[in-house]
Amino acid sequence: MLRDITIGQYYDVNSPVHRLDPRTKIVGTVLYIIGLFCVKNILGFLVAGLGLLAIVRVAKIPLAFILRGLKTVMVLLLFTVILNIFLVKGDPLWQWGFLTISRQGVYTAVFMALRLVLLIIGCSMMTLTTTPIELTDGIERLLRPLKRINVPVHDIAMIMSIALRFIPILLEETDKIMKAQTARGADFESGGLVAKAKSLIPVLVPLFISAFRRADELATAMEARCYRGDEGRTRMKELKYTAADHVARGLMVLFVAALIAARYLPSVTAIGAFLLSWW
Amino acid sequence: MSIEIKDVTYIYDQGTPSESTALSHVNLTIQKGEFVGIIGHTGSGKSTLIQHLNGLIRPTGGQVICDGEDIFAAPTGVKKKKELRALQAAKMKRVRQKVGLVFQYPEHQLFEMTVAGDIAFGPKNLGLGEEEIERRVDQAMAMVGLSDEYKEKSPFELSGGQKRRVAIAGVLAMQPEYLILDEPTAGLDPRGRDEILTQVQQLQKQQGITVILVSHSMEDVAKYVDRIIAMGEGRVQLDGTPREVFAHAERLKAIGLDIPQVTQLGNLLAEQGFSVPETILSLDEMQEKLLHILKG
Repeated sequence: MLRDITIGQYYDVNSPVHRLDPRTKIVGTVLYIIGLFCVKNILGFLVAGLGLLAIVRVAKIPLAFILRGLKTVMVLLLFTVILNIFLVKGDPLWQWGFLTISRQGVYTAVFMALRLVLLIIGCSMMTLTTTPIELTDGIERLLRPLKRINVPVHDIAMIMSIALRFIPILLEETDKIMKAQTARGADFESGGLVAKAKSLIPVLVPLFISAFRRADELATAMEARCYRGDEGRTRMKELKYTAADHVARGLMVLFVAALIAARYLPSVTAIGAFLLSWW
Repeated sequence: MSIEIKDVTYIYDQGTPSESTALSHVNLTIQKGEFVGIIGHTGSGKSTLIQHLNGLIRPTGGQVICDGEDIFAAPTGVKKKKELRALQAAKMKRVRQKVGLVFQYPEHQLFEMTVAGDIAFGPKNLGLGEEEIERRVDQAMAMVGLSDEYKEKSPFELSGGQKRRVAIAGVLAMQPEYLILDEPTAGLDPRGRDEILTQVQQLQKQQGITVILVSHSMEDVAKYVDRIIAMGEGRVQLDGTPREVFAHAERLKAIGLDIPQVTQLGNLLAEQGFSVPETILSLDEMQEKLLHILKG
């Protein structure tokens, strides 16, 4: 049940995308998100979708795996679509009692759904191809300028990497505890909302206890190995840009430029309408 | 009456790059009343195997048959989805009552405020009446050697060994006919280890509970069980009495296992030409043989 969540997971294959410097991927993703929010027409979404597909291909990640990850956000997606369809006012297409669907509503809903899907896939491409440790290393390096205004960049990065590192462990632990309680006849599936929430107590209590125990042990282990924060700490693996990063950066800029440019090009429908009027 | 594993295969993370086969075509029958030991190297599939026995995981292929009932087969003759689901849930509950499973480090699953409350969790889930629950809690505590004074204590203020007893009692209170223990002695001191295993042996001898003991310790299995199943690479490699299984020292070594130290000593003596007729399993046996040799 917990294995279906692919968002934030790392997909372990060796590909050119996996080998890129994490900073390239983080900055690229941020640019892509900005670009995606500039998109205003179908042409733009087409560019974004094709570009993303190319990245997925190069990263050697099966499309089915990514689509499976979308399943978990389906509810959120449906929710936005339905809300938009009914709540956006405009030229009515269909009416029934107080429910109205407008042309603008359908447009907004479709665009919102496309944008969300592309956004989620884009972000998961970063996490799927970058290990959590690389990711936090990249963030720490990118945020380093903030140290000058006394932001504890290193500590934040350390907290993040530990948190990320512990997600799979805690998931596994949850799985184990749920199994152990199931073996004692616990039932997590049937019953109403209250019954379901109550049935989680036998899982949550042991989970919290184990999380505290692990945190305590980890702190001791870190101290035993002389961890004392950022000062004088060197890294085993220094981040270094390679030729591939420069190429990727160039491609990324082109991609985002295309996304923004698509906004100012006449949309496909406009071209169609134009041709039709000529006819 | 028995638990039967028929051609069971289990694959983890099927369809992802981390896909791995934990069990491949395992066939086993565990008869009622047996004391079985399952040994195997880490990753040999023993933990996966025991989770099949009470339906916690569904085999990728094959059948698990508990007392003649295929625990994963869909009930026949029922059309409605809701009814079907209810029937299956009821069957699972029945199977889990019948086959008690104590996980490794079971004390990590304790959650109630009191020892008695935690032990009552299983019987409560079975839907038993209050009096019956109390009776079972008392009984289960007696079975694992916990005196009444522990009843109202918080499980979290007990020692490691006592916590483990509470957890085992939590499963025993469901009155299983089959009891599976995954490394019940891991992390305990030698005395705690012997106490727990002796109590388990008593349960098997006196109450007729079938016990399946998963263990890393060759000494422990040699001392307590009647039958050993050695797992390796997701298959049953050896199956027989301890004497039969430990006679195959080479084969065991190949799957990352060892034989008990006394057995090794016996084999070395035999190699040196002393007359040590058969596989020796206990210190007492060894003592007898040595005295015999010394007397010449």
